[in-house]
Amino acid sequence: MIDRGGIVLNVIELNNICKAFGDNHANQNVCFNLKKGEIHALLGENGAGKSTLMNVLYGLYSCDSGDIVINGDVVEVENPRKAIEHGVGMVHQHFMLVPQLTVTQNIFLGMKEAGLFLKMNELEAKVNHLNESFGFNVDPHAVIWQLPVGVQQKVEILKALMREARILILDEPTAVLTPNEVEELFKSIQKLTESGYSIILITHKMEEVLDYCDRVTVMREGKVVSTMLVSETNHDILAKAMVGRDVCLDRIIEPQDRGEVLLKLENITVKNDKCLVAVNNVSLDVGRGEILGIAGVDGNGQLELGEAVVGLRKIENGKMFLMGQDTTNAVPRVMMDLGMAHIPDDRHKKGLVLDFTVKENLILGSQRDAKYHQGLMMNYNKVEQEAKKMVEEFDVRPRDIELTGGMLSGGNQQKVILAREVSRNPEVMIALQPTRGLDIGAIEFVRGKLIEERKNNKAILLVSTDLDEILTLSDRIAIMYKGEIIGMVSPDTPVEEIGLLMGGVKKRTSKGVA
Amino acid sequence: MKEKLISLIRPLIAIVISLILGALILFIAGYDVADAFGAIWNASFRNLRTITTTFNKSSPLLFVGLAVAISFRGNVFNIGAEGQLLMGAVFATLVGLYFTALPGFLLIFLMLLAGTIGGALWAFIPGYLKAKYDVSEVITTIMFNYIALNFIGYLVRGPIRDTTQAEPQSFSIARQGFLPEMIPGTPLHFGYLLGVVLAVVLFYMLFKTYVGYEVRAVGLNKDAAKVAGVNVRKTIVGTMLISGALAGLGGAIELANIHYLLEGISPGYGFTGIAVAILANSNPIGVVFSSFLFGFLNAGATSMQRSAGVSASFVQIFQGIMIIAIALATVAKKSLTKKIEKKLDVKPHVQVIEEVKQ
Ligand SMILES: Nc1ncnc2c1ncn2[C@@H]1O[C@H](COP(=O)(O)OP(=O)(O)O)[C@@H](O)[C@H]1O
Ligand SMILES: [Mg+2]
Repeated sequence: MIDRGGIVLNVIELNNICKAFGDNHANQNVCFNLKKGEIHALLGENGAGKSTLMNVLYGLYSCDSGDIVINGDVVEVENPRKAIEHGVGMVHQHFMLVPQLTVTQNIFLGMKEAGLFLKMNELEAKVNHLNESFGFNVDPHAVIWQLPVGVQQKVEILKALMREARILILDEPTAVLTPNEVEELFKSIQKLTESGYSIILITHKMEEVLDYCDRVTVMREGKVVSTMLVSETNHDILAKAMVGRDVCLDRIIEPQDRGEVLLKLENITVKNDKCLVAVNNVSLDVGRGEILGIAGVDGNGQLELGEAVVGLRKIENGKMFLMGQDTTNAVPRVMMDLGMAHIPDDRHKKGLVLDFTVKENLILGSQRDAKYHQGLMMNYNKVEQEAKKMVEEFDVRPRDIELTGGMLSGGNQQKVILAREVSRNPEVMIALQPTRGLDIGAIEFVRGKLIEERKNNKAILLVSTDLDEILTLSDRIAIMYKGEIIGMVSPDTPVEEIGLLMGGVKKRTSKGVA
Repeated sequence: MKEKLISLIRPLIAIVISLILGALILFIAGYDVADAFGAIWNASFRNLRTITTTFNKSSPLLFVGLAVAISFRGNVFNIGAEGQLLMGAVFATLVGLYFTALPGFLLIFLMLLAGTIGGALWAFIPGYLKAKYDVSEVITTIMFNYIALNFIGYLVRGPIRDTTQAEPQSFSIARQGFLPEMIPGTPLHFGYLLGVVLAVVLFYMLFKTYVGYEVRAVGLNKDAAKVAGVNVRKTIVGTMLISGALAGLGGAIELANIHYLLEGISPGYGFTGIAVAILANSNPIGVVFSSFLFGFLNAGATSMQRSAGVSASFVQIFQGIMIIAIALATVAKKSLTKKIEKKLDVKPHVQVIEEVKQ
């Protein structure tokens, strides 16, 4: 947009926005601007205040002070309708589509243009027109519930476009998408910017910023840390800006001798929920002081393997030994008593009782430990004492042990689980997808704890679909493909080779370190 | 702490709302509201005798209320408190009829014990089926209610029928098996006191022991409990056993209170017990109060009909309104907390749709 003087104007300027929820200053003097045609990332950890800022812009919250300038005019955005009038549309992380209706019906739901009598053909033509312009490829007849999330998200974007939004806010759009869908999404976004649309992309993933965006504004604890051109920044600068200190996700494992074998699997076979063989004749062992990483593309049996080891899934065939004892198909209690700890892959479903308080969650599984009860009665004083220590040591924020588990952010929920499992002082630790969905600070913390446990001579079995994670943490890497261990390599193996193995291609020359 | 306060406020709001709605209904139907409410109040609080009668009437509700409350805490939907109460009464009757040589104290003790076992047995089978084969306890317990009811019908028409009576009912139990009065000359019996004591015990069990911790963990998230090494099946069966035992004990006490078995021994106590537990938010201490409230309303029903001409069924309507109100209060509270958590994610779309519609 060219102004009288020929200077490029910002389509949006947010000046000194302040917004507090009680004592919680979610936005403090935040300044932000968006240029026409750019993809501007709003980067920050969970709770940094990104969504709050955008909700102010979108008229869902009114700010305490500061002003909003859209296309050069100071405007009052009292509600989303106003925002839409000014050409601002927003797509939230959770969609609000009517599952039973078609794409077209959803897009025009509530729009005056649809009229009283729906002329479906005309409306569908409009949808198709947008489709063609931006390469969305959404079938206007399709019924929402039958569509994958990636497509549903496109419908949300189409909804905003149909309402003539020229500025699109996307709040963590990639959180629910597969890598392929992410790529498609950004292709469409790029087409949009080429046609003069401007995009604000909220995210906590630095890769997306570096790969697809033009500028980035980093927020931390309610304030803007800096705004940079993506071409002039890099991973480390962004990470530091986001977390407020140097973050290191590099491999920092010191070599250390592998001790006695604590966990041993002999030719085990496990079935998945559909009763198909998911783990086929797998043998492994994990020794003291080592992390054995299991790599593989999601769905190749690694989770079923992990679940079988912790006693949640039946071992159909083969044997398992924990601390030298035969624990084939033992119940979780027995494994725990022998010294096994378990970080489940699904925090909400398997890791926490969300309606329990943090302190209650911190003793889940230890409630029968001698120190926590006298006779039948729980010793809640002791529980509180230990819980306070744990939240301190594991940096659970806020430090309130009376909050319910569901009120914590994902990273802090994971810290609660980690605190609980580590303080049980286990010998063997099974970590399933321990950092999935966490932001970078939390990832660093969780990985740091796993490394610490390794240093303390624990045996750790790590299952992760994040190859970087496996490469950073493991002493040895087992690659699973279609239920079998297709290769066992050392972490200095070239990534390409591991990638091939993950795809099922076995090279005869790969050097094993079994 | 805040949570505890809210759990107190909610039933109170529900009661107030239902009072207002109830008054409104009476008014619209053309009755004298003050008269009707006055009659209910008087029926209970006129004198010591009426008050103790109310306690007497709330006794079975107290026991089934506790039974349902504990099952809710463990996420088992025990609709079978009715049948468990009936079986408790049956077991107590048999002991009271056939162990006539025993001294009073021992006989009463045995009757209550038998009732407890009877109720627990009746709950064990549905509990076991749920734990082991994931059979819906709702369906099995409802079935078991019918079995129990018809079993009583068979007993009081056949083997233990007192033929001197016109209506089918059993012989009276041994005299020394009658429940002793707590305040002489009034219907308040020691069974009620036992119920209150058990409510306190249950409260401690649920919130202060590791057994209760496990019951609640299984109730709130059985997967997480299982991952953490809790024996989920055992806990579910255990919860059902305690639940059934309480209902059975309530039945035995009711039997020892009225002295003989008849088909109509329970006017649906087991079902009212569900309402009692819901109103109390499944808190055992709360059940003491909510069961008294329901007992109070039931006690007033007939006297309201007599003196104000309002049908006794009005009390049931009133109780129904109360349950709806409490359910609404629960939903309202949930959406309130959800709102705080998810305000950013959910609300906006609803609003957008509404905004754009205008
Ligand atoms: N509706 C709300 N009520 C109270 N506090 C809120 C509300 N929305 C957000 N917050 C708080 O404001 C801070 C910033 O949150 P948010 O903007 O959602 O962060 P982000 O989107 O960067 O993860 C957090 O501490 C959060 O708990
Ligand atoms: Mg957010």
